[in-house]
Amino acid sequence: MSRLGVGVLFLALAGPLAAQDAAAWRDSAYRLSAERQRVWDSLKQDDAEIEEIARRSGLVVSASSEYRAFAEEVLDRFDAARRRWFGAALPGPAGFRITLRQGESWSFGRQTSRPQSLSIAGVPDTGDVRLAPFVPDANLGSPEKAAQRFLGEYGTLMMSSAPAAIRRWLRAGLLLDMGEDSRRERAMYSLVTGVGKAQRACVQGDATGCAHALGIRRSGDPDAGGEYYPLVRADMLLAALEQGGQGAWTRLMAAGGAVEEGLAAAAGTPADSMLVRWRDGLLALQPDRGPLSLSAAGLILGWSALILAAGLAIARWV
Amino acid sequence: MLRWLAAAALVLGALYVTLFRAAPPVPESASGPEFTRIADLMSRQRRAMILWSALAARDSALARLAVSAVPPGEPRILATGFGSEVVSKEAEAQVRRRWRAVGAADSSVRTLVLLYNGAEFDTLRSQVFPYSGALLPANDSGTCVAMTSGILKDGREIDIRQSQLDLALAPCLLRAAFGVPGRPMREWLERTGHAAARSNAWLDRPRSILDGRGQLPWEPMYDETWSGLYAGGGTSLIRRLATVELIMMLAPPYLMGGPALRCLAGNTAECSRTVLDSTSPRWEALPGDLTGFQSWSRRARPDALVSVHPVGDWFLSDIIRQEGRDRFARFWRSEQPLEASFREAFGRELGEWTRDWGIRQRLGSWEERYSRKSVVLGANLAPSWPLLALGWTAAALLLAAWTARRRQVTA
Repeated sequence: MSRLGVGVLFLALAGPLAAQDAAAWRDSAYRLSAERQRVWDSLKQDDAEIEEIARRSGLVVSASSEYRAFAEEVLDRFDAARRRWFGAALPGPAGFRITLRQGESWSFGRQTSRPQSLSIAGVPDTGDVRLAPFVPDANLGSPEKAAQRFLGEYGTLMMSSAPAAIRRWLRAGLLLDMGEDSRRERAMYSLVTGVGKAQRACVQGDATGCAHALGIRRSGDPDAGGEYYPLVRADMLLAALEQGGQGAWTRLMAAGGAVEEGLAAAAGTPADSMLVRWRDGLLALQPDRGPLSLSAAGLILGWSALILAAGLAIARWV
Repeated sequence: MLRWLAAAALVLGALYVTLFRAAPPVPESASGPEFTRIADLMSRQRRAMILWSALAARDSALARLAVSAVPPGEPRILATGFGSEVVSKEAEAQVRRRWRAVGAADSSVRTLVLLYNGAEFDTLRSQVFPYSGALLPANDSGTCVAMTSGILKDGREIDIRQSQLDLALAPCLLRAAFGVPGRPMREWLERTGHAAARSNAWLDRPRSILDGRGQLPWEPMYDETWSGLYAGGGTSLIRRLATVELIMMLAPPYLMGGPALRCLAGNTAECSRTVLDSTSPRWEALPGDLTGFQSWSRRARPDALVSVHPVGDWFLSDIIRQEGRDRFARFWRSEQPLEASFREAFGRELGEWTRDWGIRQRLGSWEERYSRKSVVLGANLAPSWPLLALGWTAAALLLAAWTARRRQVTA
């Protein structure tokens, strides 16, 4: 077939029908996106009764009636925790706003209770949508939980401005909403149960092994084995930020380049010292007693005694 | 009487301590209909965005093919929608690496790699990638256009996703290595949206490595009745006792569908069926000359328990890795029905090969590693179970009788 013939055939295939289809799906995608945004905005407007409760060093906390009592405590907890890792740094010059919302319930299509909101903003709070995640159905049962959830969202905002190499290395984010005890315990468990050669070397105190198992530096040994889960990387980064103190986050942002350099800059120490300190900190968390709690043991014994007593009481004792 | 009341109070107290010692349960329904509506709108928006990007990329590719022929050999890389003077060194390196691994490419196959601008699709924040796949024009079986999106960074360099480019390249790489497929193979690939041909691992992964990244060999799908059970089912007592979770943990791996289970249990005819009748994940609005794309989540369907689920997307890649390129080329180009050509090329039945592959893949999957569910069809009560139950019952009866005998008082 001549080149002209092939061209005509292709043009016939790329004819008006296909073009129209693409345009129709484009319109549909935009219409659905606008509709989604409209429903989202209508949810936010339900928060008319939210009012400012307190201000602290560039942060403002606002709450609706149910959360006014502990809003200030949430702000204090959140501020203390964020300073521990990020110092006074903000996600961006436009500030930020994080809103948690909970409590609405529906029955047979009717709203039986109004939603309650708790919001923390960093001034200037320009209302930039990109910096204002809205978290529905957050569990705000206590100031600790609420502060934890705020911290998780804040960590996500901060990481969005972190160097690309660090973001790629981290894989799963900072996981700050997980709770420190839980995160560190899991990281410790991963550290001590890793079976790869580099992982075992890391437990023994070899910084090169730790660097390989964390994906920071290749050891060159083809038998070095696998790497730790992303959670362990998050724990490493947070440990480096904590080691580095107030200016750690700023140094991390300024470092750029390789992950190892960034982490060492954040920690303010050579990479190997930072890794050994991190490993020592995790090993210190190893449990010194068994997992069976007193209450669980009591419950088991209680049930056993009850069943035994029931069995022995079948016959009458004359 | 008092003793009975005390015993009843004791039992009730024990039940209370067991069931209510944990934190109070979450409210029955914490989310309103707006959230369901937002989720539904997001799902439809994603579908519309992917179809829009697929059709727009197809239009660009067909328009390009209409004005300039694609030369045979190593593929040309074209960028569309970015302006002039843009390059993607990352894409060039990846394509070069892949074609080097192919070796001598088939001279009858011409490949074009089209990088289209994903910026506009990104503005919708749909949280999924735009379309990545291949255009295989129906009137020209020798041409393959791999299409994926990119984003311009620093004004000159196009940033691409390597995994997405690999997905788009997969059908073209198979054609470059083995030529134009025979009609039965072509029809099967089109019918299944190339679902089994999305892995390029055959190019460089050693045969000894188990591929599949720990996934199940047939795509897991939830039956809609299960999600209904989770969403609306049961009282808080049932939830507390984790009844639904226990049933799910103890049940055989129904997620892969009945035919796959029968295949794993040794029914080779069902194994063939899971390959030949593999349901396609493509959407109806996608033209037949475009390959399908990866779904982003586990899907639910009303007949998930009984239907044939798509076979793993590394299935063809594994055939090549296990059987070698030369024999696969015969299978690929054969004009005989798929089962006959498989037998002729590899000396084995398709069903038998698929059964062995499925068992191997399942044993290496995360699902098997963490749940270890056995595949038992029909009644699944092991013979030892009734014996064990009867034995313990007899022991309990004997203990009770012995205790009662000791307490008898004769007049």
